[in-house]
Amino acid sequence: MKAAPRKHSAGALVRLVGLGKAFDGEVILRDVSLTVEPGELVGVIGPSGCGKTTLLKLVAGLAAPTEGKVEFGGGPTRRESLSFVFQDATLLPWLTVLDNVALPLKIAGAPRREREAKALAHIERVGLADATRLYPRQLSGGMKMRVSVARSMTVDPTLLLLDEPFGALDEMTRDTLNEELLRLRQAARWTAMFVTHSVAEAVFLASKVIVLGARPSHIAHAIDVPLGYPRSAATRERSEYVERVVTVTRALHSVQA
Amino acid sequence: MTGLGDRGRGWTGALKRHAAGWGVAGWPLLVGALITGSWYGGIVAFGIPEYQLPPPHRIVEAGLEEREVLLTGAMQTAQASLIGFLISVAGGLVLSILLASSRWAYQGIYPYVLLLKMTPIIVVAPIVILWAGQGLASITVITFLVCFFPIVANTTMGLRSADANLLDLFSVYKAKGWQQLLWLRAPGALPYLMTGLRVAAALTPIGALYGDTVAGMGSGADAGLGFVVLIFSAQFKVPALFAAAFAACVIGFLFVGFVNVFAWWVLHKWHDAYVAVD
Repeated sequence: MKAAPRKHSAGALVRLVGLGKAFDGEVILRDVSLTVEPGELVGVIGPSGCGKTTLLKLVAGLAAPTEGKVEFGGGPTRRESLSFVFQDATLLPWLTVLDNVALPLKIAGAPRREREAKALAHIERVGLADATRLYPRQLSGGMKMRVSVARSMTVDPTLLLLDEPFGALDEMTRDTLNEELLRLRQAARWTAMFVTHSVAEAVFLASKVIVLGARPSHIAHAIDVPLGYPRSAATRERSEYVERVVTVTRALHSVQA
Repeated sequence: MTGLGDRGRGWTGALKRHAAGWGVAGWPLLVGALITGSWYGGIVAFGIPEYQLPPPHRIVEAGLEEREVLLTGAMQTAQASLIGFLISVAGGLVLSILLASSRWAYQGIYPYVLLLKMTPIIVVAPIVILWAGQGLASITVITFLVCFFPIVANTTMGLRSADANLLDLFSVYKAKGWQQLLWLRAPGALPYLMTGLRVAAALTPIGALYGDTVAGMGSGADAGLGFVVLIFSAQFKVPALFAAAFAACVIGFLFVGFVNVFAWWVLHKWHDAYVAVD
């Protein structure tokens, strides 16, 4: 990025500028502008089919916007240090847990010894040290998502994108994985943008919740979550947390009405 | 539990336990004995002459009498089958990768692959013989033509049907085209390839046998099983004809069996359909 950064975006990690996306003439997203500062966790929530996943794919570069642009910069961030956690675990069924987690490093051309050591460290961090030689079909849904999260960490991402990562899991497992995710963040300090359809999950994880309106979607509300980090299971019992859950729920209902 | 539950477990339960004890050999043996019994019974009851349906022991005798001709024929046919099959696998893989490499290649080339498949082998065989002459070369080419389509069709479909999320995953981490092919599309196509191989394995001996009947003349004393069948038929050696059919059957079984074992070996660690097989 050679162009001098504009004054107001000096600290921004990602800027979405007037982002729009249409498929076959139907407008999915319209004029989405958003600045993500380093260290933020931005939760995106909205009615189903509102283009949350599309928004994430535009940021990831997996789809091209029909209007506007995604700017990276204002820091050392390049797109290469971006990682993505998919809706389902999206593991390669023919690879062991170890090889699945090491895959991004293999693609990047890291030598075997190095990538396995690194993958192993990340597998231990999500509590699967005993499962490194297992294949995905031998894992539970929660374990698969842990593998998926570990894989996303191996490239030391600056920006982590998560697309309804724990949506398919039961609530207990989901809560546990959310707590683990925030623990990982305490150690690694990535910035994240995630999509969810759970208000509770959005508020628990995010420092800022974006509520998208119905199609064509735009940002209807941006709600700060001043809970600070680290957070733990106890955070869910704090009145500020409950308050924000109510606020976001109301905002969500207002765009659906 | 009483009543229906218990009665249900009664004789069907006993049958199931026996089935488990008998394993894979018991039932087929029983059915085989029944078939043999009604075979003899039918011959006696309806007075069927030997030149229409020889009794089983006559087939065994004829098989032993003609064992040299049958064995040589079987070896020849197996050889042509194997060579044709291996060429099909190699050619099929190369063509599949080409077809899956771009939309352009697929749309441009696949119609011609279909055209080749749609042309009946009976029509193509004389042309093959015209070019390659009588003998093993033509027989191999005919075998190849018969069994290469299922390999190409299945493998191409496998290479093209990689999961959209997995493709996105590879894009996110900036995978190059060859990495995507080697680490995502190719392993994902393996179950499809195995299906293609199984279909092809069943067709291969048929192709080789048919090749024998139209191009086996040049082989002389080393004629394949298909040509041996022609001779037995002309000589009206009916029990020997049945023995030849049995020999062809064995070749087919060996081929399909080998491919099944291979497929299991390749896939059993991760593919659900093969996990339970033992």
